[in-house]
Amino acid sequence: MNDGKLDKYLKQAKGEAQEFFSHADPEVLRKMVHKRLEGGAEKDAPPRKGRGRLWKLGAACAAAVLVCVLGAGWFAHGFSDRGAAETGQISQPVIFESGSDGVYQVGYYPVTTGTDGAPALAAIFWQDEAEKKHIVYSSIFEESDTPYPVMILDLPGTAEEKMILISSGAEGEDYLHYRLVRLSAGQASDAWVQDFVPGGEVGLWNGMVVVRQDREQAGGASLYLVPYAMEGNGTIVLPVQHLDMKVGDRLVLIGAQPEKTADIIPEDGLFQKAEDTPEGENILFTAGHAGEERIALRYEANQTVLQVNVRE
Amino acid sequence: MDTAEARAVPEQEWSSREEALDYLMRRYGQEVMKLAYYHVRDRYLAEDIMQDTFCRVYQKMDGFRKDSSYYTWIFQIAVNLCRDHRKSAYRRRVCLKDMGERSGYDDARLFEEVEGGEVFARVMDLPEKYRTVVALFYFEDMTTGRIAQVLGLRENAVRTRLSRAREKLRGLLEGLANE
Repeated sequence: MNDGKLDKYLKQAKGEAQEFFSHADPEVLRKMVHKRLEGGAEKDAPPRKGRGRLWKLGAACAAAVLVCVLGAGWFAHGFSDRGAAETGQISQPVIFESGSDGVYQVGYYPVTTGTDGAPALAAIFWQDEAEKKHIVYSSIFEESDTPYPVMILDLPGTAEEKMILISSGAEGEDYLHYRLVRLSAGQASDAWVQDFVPGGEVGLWNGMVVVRQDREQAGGASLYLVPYAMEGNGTIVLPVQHLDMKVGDRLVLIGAQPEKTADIIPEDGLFQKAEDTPEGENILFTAGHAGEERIALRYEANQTVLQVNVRE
Repeated sequence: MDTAEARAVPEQEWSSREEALDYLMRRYGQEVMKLAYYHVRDRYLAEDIMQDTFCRVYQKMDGFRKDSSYYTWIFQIAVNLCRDHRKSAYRRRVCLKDMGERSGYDDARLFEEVEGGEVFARVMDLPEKYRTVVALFYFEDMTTGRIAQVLGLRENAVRTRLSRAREKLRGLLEGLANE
């Protein structure tokens, strides 16, 4: 390819880049920076983790965090021995907008659990509505002190729902906790939860969550969490139409809208319901042998298909 | 005249740090986010880095000695944050690697949407050290001198990377040319 042609392509790419970035709203980003600064996490340059000032919630909000966590009926909690006044988020808060619901913020807080005060993390989702913050979700990661980045899935087919992946580990330990949280109409709930995943790694890929486990300890299977959403006209939308997996890998299809759960039907018999499928509407499928599988998702009169190729 | 110089913030007095921050974000926010995206190729991370950048700008504004332009200073903060991200243990933990046929990527692509055009996507398929200089030079109209300043490289190194990037792009784009 000569230089002239290459330059022509680069000019084309420049136009495509401009179009690509035109969708980012600079005003939204500007507001998010101000919100972070108003939160007080940045004004006096506190360190990113470790020692922390109490995020400017006020005593009432700090108590609300404690009440929320206690109210969940897990364990007796307390803030660390450093005292509530010195305890705050131990990671940079993640701020995002969700459809017309407004702005949300996700942060991790150190807590202690049980009578022996084992370290844990509380992940809290705040909704910022009319200048007031309120908690919409919380979850405890036991025996954990290392928060991992919050990841947000925009779902094709809907601007009103999102899924958020939160996860954590522990220094010196080789396990992972994670939650896939469904956020819809201001309500947040667990779509999928796993704790103490040995040697686990989790991330987003092509609009899906993929969990990889240590091959020696846990058989090495990958778990694919594939979200789906329903458009206003009932069309079921997936982030991918085709998936490549290996024998032993597992798959869960998770609806973004809790009140609209599609029937999931593996048509070729390759995928079987896993014995350790947790209770609830989400079925864990496992691929027993190599081949091709069509998995139909059906809701009322609508259907979409996920084609899966399983190899050895 | 260097386009970047033309974009330099004129000397002016702001009544508060907030006013200054607002001005700088309106002026450079989009460009910082684009720079971060070229580095990390993930929209949400790029937005996060952009926010972090301006939070740091706010913190350090009083100490800014004006021995460079605001533009260069802000971009250098953003570049350092991008590099911190690449080195962080968090990223090693949660980023997926070796995703089968995606051997041409130096990262797993975390941003699943189509990158707005097949040629742009091929440029973004370059390894990070090449795609950043290509993007800054060809998409953001920066001079090699300015790119060197922002990325903390020698200008010769920037020219070398551009030259190598062009060779790699010829290969990546041949497929398009043959369609």
